[in-house]
Parts: sequence; C-alpha cells; structure tokens
Amino acid sequence: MLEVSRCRAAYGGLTVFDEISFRLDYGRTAAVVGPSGCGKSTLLALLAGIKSPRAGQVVLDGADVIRGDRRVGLILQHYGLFPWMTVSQNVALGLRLRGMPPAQRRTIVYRELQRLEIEEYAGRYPGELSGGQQQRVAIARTFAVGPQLLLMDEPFSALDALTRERIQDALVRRLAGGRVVTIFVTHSIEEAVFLGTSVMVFEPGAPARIRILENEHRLEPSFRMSALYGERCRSVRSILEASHAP
Amino acid sequence: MLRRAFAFLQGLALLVVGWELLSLFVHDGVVPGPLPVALVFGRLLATVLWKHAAATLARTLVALVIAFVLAVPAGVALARVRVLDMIFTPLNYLLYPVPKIALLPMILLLFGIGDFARVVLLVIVLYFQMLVSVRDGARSIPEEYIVSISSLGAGRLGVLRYVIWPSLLPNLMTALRLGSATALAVLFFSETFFTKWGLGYFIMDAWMKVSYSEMYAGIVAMGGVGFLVFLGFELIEKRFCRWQQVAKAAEEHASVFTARGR
Repeated sequence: MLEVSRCRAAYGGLTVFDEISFRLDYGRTAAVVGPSGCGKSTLLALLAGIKSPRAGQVVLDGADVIRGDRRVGLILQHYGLFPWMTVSQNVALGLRLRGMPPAQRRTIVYRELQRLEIEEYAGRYPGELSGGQQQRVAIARTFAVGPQLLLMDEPFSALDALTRERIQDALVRRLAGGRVVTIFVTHSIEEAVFLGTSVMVFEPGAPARIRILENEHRLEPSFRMSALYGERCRSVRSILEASHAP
Repeated sequence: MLRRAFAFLQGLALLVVGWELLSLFVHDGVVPGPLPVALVFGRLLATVLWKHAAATLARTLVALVIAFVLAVPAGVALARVRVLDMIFTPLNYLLYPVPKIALLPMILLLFGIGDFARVVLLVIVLYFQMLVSVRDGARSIPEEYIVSISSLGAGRLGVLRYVIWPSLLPNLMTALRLGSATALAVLFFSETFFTKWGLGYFIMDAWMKVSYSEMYAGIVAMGGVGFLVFLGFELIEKRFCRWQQVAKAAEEHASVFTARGR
C-alpha cells in the first residue's frame, strides 16, 4: 500500500502544495489532472523519490520511498529510452543493474515484449520505431523490473489519438491482476477517467489543493464505450472548470 | 560499401590526375609526377620508409591513448561536478587557444630532447581538444536519460557506464579524428628536431638533399599514416555507434516523408 501523509513540496520559498495525504492499495490506479504548473509533476517527483518533501512522508509498504528506490518504476513523457541500446537491451537494463544472469534476463525480456506485442522489434534501435512502439518499449522496460509503484508523467501525450487508445488498452491489460500501485499525470480528462480508479484533481492556488474523486470501475477497454464513462468525464470536467473559474 | 570504395578510388584518381598536371606545368623537377614518386615510394617503403612511418604512427597512437585516458574522466568530472567546472573551465578556456606548438621549446627544456617530449606535446594538443568535446558532450546529455536510468536502479557507476559513456562516444570519435589531424601536423614539426626517426625528419632530410622524389614519397607516407588513423576511428565509430547511423537514417526518412506530405 502507498501512503502519502501530510506532504509539503516547495521550491525555495514557494510552497507548491501542502498537507497532501492519500492512500492507494495495490491494484489501484490514480490519475492526476489539473492545469499546467499546478504541481502535478512535482507530486510525481516526490513519489519517485527524486524530490524530497519539505514535510510529510511517502511510504510504500511501511518503508519510506527514497531516491533510486528499486520498488518504483517511472515512465516519462518522451519515453526515456536509450538510443544506443536495442529494444531488448533497453528492456533488460533494469534487470542487468540488479545483477540478474543473462539467461534469466532474456526470458523476462521476451515475456514482457510479447505481452506488449513488440517482440518482433527486439533487435531494433528506438530510432527505428514509431512513438507508439517506443512507448510500449518504455512500458515493457518498467514492468520487467516488477515495480510496486508505477509512476507515469504524461505517458501518452506525444501519441496520436488511435495509438494512444491502443497503448492505453495494452497498459490496462498489463496492469490487470498485477500487484502494483499506479499513478499517472495527464492533461486528458478522458484518459484520467478511463485509466484512473481514482482521479486526483489539482485545484490551483498557493499552495495548490487536491480533490480526490473515486472512479471505481473495472480496468478494461470496454469501459470506454459505457454510459458511466461519459458521465464521469463530464463530472471531472465540471470540477476542473469550476476550479478554473475567474 | 562498394559505393564508398568507388568514391575513394574516384578521389584518388582525381588527386593523381591533378598531381600529374601540376608536374607537367611546374619545371625544374620541383614537382615530380606521381609515377616516379610511386616507384621511389615502393623502393623505400620496404627499406627505411616503413620505419619512419612506424615511428610517426607509434608516437601518434601513444599520445592518443594517453590523451584519451586523461581527457575523458576530466571532461566528465567537469560536466558533472559544478565546483570543478567553476575552478578549471576558465583555465581551460585560457589555455585552449594557445598554439601548442609554441610550447615546444619549453617542453624540450623540461622533458629533454627525446621521444617523451614529442609525445608530451602531442598529448597537450589532443588533451584540450578532447576535454572540450567530452565536457560539452556530457553536459548536453538530456536529464531525462539520467532520471530514466536512476529510476531503473542505477547508481553513479551505472549512469557513467550506460548513459554518459555511450552518449559521449560519437562526440569523442569526432574529436579524435580532428585531433589526430592536428596532432600529425604538430608531430611533423617536432620530428624535425633532435631525432633521426619519423616522417618529419625523413621529409626535411630529403628536402635538404634536394631529393624531391623521396620528399614526396615521405609526404605520401605521411598521408598514409593520417589515413590509417582516420580509418581506424571510422571503423571504431561504425562498430560502437551504429545506433547513431540508424537514428540519422530514421530522421532522414521522416523528413522525406514530411516533405512528400506537404
């Protein structure tokens, strides 16, 4: 379980947010939405251990999350793949850093590539792949190390609409039944409602506040077609619009 | 591969034709034609020329290795440790533009008149070129890569091995190629003093003896040494930086695609 308690983040004298607390169980996915510059990425940096909170704690299974914490997986907006490594080398890197023997590494890499339907690109370099394929590689690389906390910073924003949906579906399938807490930042209300079992709305201010909406649903591609999905999108939109009101 | 070999032969043919024409117009035997030079080159190569070429090549390679070993860690340290950068980079900027050949008398006084002094001079020439290139290369590594590998559990050594080193290689190869050309020029000059081995000595000696065919054979050998070093770096780059060619080809493909779409 991830427990964030009374966290405060600041840059110099400027407090970005304060007194932020929430809990997320394994299997839950939280989408973080809000206007630009309100502190969404700062929250992600805090959860990843890249930035230390000025006050409060980020605890995963009873232990503080620290910088370079191997329980945390991070997927960046521009994928963060290393262009000098092939797809399989990229996916294997986290395992290699953990000292896993090559034979075992190869098995896990192949399994992850297969799950994301990109095994045919194993020998290619990222520069030879489309944005969608690169994002799949980034997801495979993160899942290969079996993170308990998966963080994603606008993971689908650089993709076209159809590719975005396909990758979201692939992610949903990959997350199904896994023992992982997922938190991702997005600008898209539809994405937040589709992927998030909770939606955290950042309300601008100094410091910013967050409002958590429960969005209980089964993580599966068909949810996108349901009436409930449309209804939830409208309610998140109205909250965001109200928080933006002059 | 075939296309490259053809382009190389084309360049060589152009050089030979130009040389032949020049030899026809310049009298007094100052520019002998390529054929007599080739004959002298062939005759001398097996006897003395290879020893001079080997001396020049060995000095260049030793200097390249030493400069590489010194400049790469220093450049990375300047790029990643702010305090070191603040202290040493202004000093490097002051020293970098100084023509290193001007240091030859001082180096000969400090290190004697042997090969050691010549190698020190070459190391100084190469060191600054590589240092600037490594520092700039290491500073321009996107932070995203560092965050990405740290999130996979890498420590400082992991960052160095899997991110900084491979991303520096293309820059480093360019610096080595450019640096080796400058180093050969400096070496040529330094081989004209206090030594009887090296192509610099051979060429100047032939010039003094008014043996122009031998002098040109020496120049051809000097070109050959430069070409070998250049080719060596190109092969290393091809072997270890294949990803860059792939990325370039993908970019070109994308730009053609965009242009067609307009």
